[in-house]
Amino acid sequence: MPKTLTILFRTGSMMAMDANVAVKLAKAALDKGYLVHLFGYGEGVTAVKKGQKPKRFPNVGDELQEAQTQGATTAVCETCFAARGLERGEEIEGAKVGSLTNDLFKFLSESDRLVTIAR
Amino acid sequence: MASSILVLITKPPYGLEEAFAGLRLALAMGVNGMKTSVLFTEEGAYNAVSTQKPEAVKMPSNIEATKELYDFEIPVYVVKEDLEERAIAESSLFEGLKVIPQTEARELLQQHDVVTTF
Repeated sequence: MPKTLTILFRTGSMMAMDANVAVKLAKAALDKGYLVHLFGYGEGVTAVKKGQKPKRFPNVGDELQEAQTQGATTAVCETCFAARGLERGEEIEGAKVGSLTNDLFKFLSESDRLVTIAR
Repeated sequence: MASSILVLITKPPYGLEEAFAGLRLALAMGVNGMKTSVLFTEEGAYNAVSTQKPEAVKMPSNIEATKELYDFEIPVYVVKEDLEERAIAESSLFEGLKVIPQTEARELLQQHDVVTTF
């Protein structure tokens, strides 16, 4: 049975590479046969914003979608999402605007490992 | 599969969202029945001080957020040495907190399936 990894990331899409590192780690774990869950909390929710257009940096929204295509599941905290003026429908396809109580709890309950990426 | 989580709070109560966010995460796990513990350590020790006045900075109260955890029997620990380094007297802490030495904090790490840091 494959092992399951949850990555909790709390840094936003810009100004730091943390979210990119989270996705890179997710892809590496997928390549090794892990099931992978990503959960964005706090500023991390901005990583799933649809339509990001960074000119000189990697597009973490696109990278997340690639990871999802490879099998990763992504959810973010709805309270944090709303607090930043974001609304349902503004997230990239496949990402879920969810909650700690339902989604993160489910992710952790299924996981063998938790990695937190934050500052 | 993880059935227990330790939430380390290493940041002070105000000026950053981290401590409050960690307390809410702990609550969300605890209400679902996951064995959950919280440890205030390093600068996070300031979260244990009873005289916090969050209304002064229009922030939610981390004392209230901590006490909500008690309703779900989530223990909240504070590292004794981190209090001492900051000259925070145990008499200045709010009720319900468990002051433990660093050696016991290390044991807590081993007693939980997963650990996250705020």
